[in-house]
Amino acid sequence: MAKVILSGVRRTYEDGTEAVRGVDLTIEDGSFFVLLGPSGCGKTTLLRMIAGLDPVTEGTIEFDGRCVNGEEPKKRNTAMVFQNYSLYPDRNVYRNIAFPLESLHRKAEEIDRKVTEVASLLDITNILNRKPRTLSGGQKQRVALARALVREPSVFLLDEPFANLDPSMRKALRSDLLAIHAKTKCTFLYVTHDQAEAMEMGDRIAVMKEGKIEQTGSPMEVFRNPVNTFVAGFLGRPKTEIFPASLLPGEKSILADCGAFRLTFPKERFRDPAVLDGEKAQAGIRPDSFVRTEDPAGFTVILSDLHKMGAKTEAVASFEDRSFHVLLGGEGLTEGPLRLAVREEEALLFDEDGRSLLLPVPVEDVPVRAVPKAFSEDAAEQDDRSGFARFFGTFFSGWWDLLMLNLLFLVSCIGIITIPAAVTAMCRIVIAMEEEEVYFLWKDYWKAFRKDFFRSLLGGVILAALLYAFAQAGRFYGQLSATRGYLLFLGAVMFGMFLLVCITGIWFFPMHAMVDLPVTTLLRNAFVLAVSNLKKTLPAIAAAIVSFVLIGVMLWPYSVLYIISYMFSLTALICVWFVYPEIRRRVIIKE
Amino acid sequence: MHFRMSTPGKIIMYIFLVLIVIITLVPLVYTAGASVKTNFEIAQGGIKPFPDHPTLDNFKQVWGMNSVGLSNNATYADYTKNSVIVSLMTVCFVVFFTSMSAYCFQRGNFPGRDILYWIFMGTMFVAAGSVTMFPLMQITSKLGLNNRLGVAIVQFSTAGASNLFLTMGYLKTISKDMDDAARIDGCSFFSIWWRIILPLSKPILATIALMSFRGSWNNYLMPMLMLTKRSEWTTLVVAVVKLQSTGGSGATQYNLMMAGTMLAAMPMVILFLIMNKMFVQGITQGAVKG
Repeated sequence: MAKVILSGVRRTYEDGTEAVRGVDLTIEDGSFFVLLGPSGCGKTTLLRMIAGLDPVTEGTIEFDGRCVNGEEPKKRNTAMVFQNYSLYPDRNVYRNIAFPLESLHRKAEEIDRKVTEVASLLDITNILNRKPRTLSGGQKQRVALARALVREPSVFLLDEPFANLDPSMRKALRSDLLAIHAKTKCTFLYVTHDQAEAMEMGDRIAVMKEGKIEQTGSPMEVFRNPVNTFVAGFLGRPKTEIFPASLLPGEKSILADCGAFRLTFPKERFRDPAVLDGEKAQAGIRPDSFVRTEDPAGFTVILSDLHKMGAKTEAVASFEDRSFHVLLGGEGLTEGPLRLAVREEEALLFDEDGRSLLLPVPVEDVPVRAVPKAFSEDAAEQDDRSGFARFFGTFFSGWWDLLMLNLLFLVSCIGIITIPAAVTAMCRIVIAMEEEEVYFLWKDYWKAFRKDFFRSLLGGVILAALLYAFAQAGRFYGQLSATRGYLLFLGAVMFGMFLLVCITGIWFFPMHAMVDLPVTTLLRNAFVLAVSNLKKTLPAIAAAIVSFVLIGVMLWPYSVLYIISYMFSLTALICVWFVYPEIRRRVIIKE
Repeated sequence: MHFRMSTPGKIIMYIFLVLIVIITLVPLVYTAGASVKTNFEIAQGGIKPFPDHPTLDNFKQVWGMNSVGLSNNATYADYTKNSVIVSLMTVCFVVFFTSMSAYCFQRGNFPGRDILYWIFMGTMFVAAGSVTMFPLMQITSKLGLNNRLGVAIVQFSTAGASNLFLTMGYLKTISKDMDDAARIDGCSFFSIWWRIILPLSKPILATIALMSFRGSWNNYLMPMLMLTKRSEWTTLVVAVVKLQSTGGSGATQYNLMMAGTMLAAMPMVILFLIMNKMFVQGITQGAVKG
């Protein structure tokens, strides 16, 4: 049992996306609060923040006056029911329900008593020994509810719990849930995108859009007095029809001319009755506010696409070039012309930006508890380019981008090809020596270098081509997020290597094909020398790690690619640096 | 999609498969046959895979021999015990640490995770046997780990990346909502692993355990290099090779070698026959879902 207060709550993801943009909300103790909104509006994120699963970027969440920001979920004493049930598949129903109590180290008798109690409340005593995979959707959700209820939480969070169920099951579970709420008097926070569900279940509802709360109130309040066209359109089916109108102020009333029909609003209904003559506005008419009439003041439409739904009939009405949905009562409707009128007292009026112009109509029997504050932040500019384009876009733009990119890859290629070749040639000569002193001849060196160079060239070209192709793909297919892009690429490469290894049975095949023998030979030889002088090489290893990390950070988000491509040449360079004294000691250089 | 093959194609395919089977099986059959022959019969040669009068004396002799291979006071049973100890230790390390690290990499969110992961994965492309052989020997002997425990540690760590890859692929299939539910139900990061993830990843861990057991049992290089100090610690596979120089007569005792090989290979063959479904399943699961 807790009162939950959210003030200025925001959630920004690492990539800069704002999921929740400043929410102020008061959820009274023991109320059934419904968060309603289209998919992706941030309602689930908000719920997860209240549960403690997601961190709060800004603002505070209070439970009974205690700030719970940063507190672990288990300390908040919340319970959550997920859309996909999230039952533990290896435990039977009994042990699933007992799980939260086991975590709290309760005594076995107490666990047994509580589980039996909750199971009988939810009518699942006969399935306590079964595993979750043998249950139907409805049973699974009952078990999930039981698991949440058993620990007697102070706040009960439900994330679209019935979305995966069939309608009749949904109906049954909804009424069960309401009964449970009445019995436990616990604070319920229910997230849904289904406006009918919200209207039916909530004491209070909050309508969310793009991370902000548009309106809070009792279901009827929100339904009757939507603050803007979005809320008007979201609540009620079929959707509220919006007609462009121009206002004509009179002495006691204001006339809204919608073309097909005119609506008269008394001035006392307006928030601000001082409207200009001919001011543009939008009229919102719910489809069931249209009525059949014989009155000549009405307007004639052509009815089509009739769907009889018991007492009411849904149809599409066309007037001149505009068509809209109507929901009409009575018998004997046929396709063709029909005279309609609008119930003016139910009509809504919004300004050009979609904000309501009318004062709220009082709705009976509903105490007003929370009023949302006004929000005034601008919609953050969405940067929908890929990480690649974003990253390079900060330095270059347009053709510069392309030029620099190509230059970068040219340098990479040269590095990939030459460095290992040069280093390996050196090492080959050093390692090949068997006697204590070796005469180093530049002629021999160049011979070895040429040999290694052409070998490396092939591998380097393949690697560079892959890198280049990938970079270009990332550039032009900006829709693919950077992470996914290179994971895909690396996944493909790895899979290919796996295949090669499986087929040939040669572990090193990919390396031979890509950068060829030099690097591996070099690594092996350098390792032997390095390990025999472990003290000397420790700084080298540290330096290598630091360089990798630095390069990775500098070239984020493409660090993985770069690290892999540079790893070999960099290691080689560093190893040679430390092996060099050995070379100097043993090799006599002759010009 | 159902793939249909023409009759000549089928014939060619079957010929090919039969050839591969023959190539794979001939050495095995030969070993099995030679293990019940006398050394004289083996030396005679001929194409007869099994002798007219098979004998189990070779097995008796190998098992009861007091000076097998390198050590003077270790028997074949001791080497078997060593193999079992090393393999079981490897399996324990693999199951415990792979599951833990896969969970951390897959579910954890700590700075440098991706870089660490890719470096770790990068070790898959370094041939553990040849490139790192010398450094490994140096490091383990400096640390005083040139014993059975050391072999287990080395075998576990060199196979780490590929095991991790398989396990992470499997963990991806476990819904993250399960973690969230467990967190709400009062679990910490560690207890989610212990109470939820570990029981759920049993199938893949069983596969990995089997593969590591097999790998460890059959590993020749590391035990041979690392257990030179106390040769009675040596594993079965290493001891088998040393059989060739025992017997006293100076000639290579092929019959004893073959019997020893059969004794060393049998546990694995039996294990595979019992659990082959798990081998195949686990690998394909990791591949598809990863």
